[in-house]
Amino acid sequence: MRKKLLICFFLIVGLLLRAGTSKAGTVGVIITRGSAFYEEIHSELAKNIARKDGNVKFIVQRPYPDVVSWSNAARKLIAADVDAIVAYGAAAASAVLRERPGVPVIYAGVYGPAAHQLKGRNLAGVYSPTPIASLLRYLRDTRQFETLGVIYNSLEEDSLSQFDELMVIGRKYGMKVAGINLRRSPDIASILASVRVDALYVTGCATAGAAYPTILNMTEYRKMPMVSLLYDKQKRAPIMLTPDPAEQGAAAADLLLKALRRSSADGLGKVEGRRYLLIYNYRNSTSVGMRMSTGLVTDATEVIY
Amino acid sequence: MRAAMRITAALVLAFSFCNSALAAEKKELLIGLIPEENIFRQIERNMPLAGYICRKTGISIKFTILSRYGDIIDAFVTRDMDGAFFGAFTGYLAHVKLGVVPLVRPVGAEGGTVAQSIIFVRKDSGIRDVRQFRHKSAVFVDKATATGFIYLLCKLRGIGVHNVDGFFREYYFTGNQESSVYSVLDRRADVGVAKSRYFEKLAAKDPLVAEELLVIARSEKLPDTVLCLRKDMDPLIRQKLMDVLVGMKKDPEGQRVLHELGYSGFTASKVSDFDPVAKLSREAGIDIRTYRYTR
Repeated sequence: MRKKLLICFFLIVGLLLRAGTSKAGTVGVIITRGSAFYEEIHSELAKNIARKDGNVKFIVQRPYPDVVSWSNAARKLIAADVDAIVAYGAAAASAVLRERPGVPVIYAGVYGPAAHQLKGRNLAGVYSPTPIASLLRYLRDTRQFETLGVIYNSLEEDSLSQFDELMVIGRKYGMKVAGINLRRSPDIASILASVRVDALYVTGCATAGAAYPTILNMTEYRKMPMVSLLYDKQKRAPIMLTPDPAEQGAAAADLLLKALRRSSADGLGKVEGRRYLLIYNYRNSTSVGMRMSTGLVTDATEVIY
Repeated sequence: MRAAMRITAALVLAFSFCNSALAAEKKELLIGLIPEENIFRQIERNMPLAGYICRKTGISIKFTILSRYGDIIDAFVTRDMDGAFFGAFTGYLAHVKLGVVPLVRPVGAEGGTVAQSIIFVRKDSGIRDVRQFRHKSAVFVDKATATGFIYLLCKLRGIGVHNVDGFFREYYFTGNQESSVYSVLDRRADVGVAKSRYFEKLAAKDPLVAEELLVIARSEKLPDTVLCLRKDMDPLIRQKLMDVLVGMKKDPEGQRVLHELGYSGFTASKVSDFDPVAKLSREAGIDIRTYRYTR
């Protein structure tokens, strides 16, 4: 009898341990559709996790950049009983926090000021205070202009925060800033065809990411100087500035593993990303009439001739 | 990438004036420049000066921009330079180590021949005192600059810190004054050091520099750039150069060149001009004969 009881005990413990291991390795992920930056961070995160702990299983949701889609994605992951949620971008992270998931939430790819708005328990993440003024400075260095068009999406907190900051900076530089609120990617062609601006500044929004080929084609056709905070693997923008996705992914992976081990993200805090990619596509910049910027040549992490 | 570009620039961007026939007949001087600002811009600024000296004296001037401040001491010997526009510290260093002799100092557009080092932070950083620098990130210009590094060493010694390693969370050298200012403005570093003249120039053209950065410490006055010539330079050439440079401000053509350079003239310089930088070096705990000025 005693022997049977012992066998039963070990069986139950074994089952519990097995269930515990598999549960601890299930992570929900929200990558807003259209953002190559978030995709790249996630790819780096997955690589880092695989190197350190092969047991983690990802359930990935790719919602459209709107409030309902983000919420639905968060609800699906909570219903799937995941052990942690990784959300890329402030908007996705906010949507998860609104659903009170009860599991650790790790964010990454968030713009500095937007990260400060993210508050909640069981929350940690990686952010970057991208120096958006520097990109404007480089743009001014390459071409004189009066009106700057800024593509942003008011639904994406990172992008909206960047636009707000550009409005303030633009005023200080004495230029007109025209906001182009791109809520739906397919609207880009008609908007750009009608807008009267001298130069274009693309903030880090997924709607612009999905419409990026159109934006590049139209600015080239109209010979309009353009700078971008959007990550683009093909580096097509004349000047591109983004946080380094490899650094973001590695830091987020560290936070995620710690949160999974402790079943909590409390106390892990925010990690500031400090590395950036500043790509100067000289070839494309001259094709839209931008002068060579000597400062940019020396500051850029990569120059494409 | 950046390092490669600088090296390439140092190799490629030597430029000379006076036509080759003239240069073959007469003396050509190789003069070094330290990379105070963007090297491309520096070339643009100095080209007219080389042309002017050549037209007035027949002496061909070949300028060469060094990739780093400290390089100018070693390159002075290896490249057989005749002179160089040194910064305050490199000038003093070259005088002690190589015996170079000061000739002239440029006079700024506002009439000054001195420079100050400033330590600056972002206004919103909350940093107001050197003691708050601990575990912050810092950006310097170069190890071989009084205004871009050594002044900060003095301030740190004032609070009992004798080594920057371990005191700052991280630090790096930008190689030029402008990048140091923008590194702090763009939040790549918490604390920056630079020459006041460059800071003020940038503040005048970029409102964000003036509005978002705060100068929290300022050094005593130090000599600005000094043109020094090698100790065995022909006295006749030395005198010719002195005359043409000091006399530029009275010549309309010279005035145009000076305007391009952002100077109002040149004034004669002497060894005692280095006294303030010698004092600063002592206060920073630097033994000038053994100081490792390269990174």
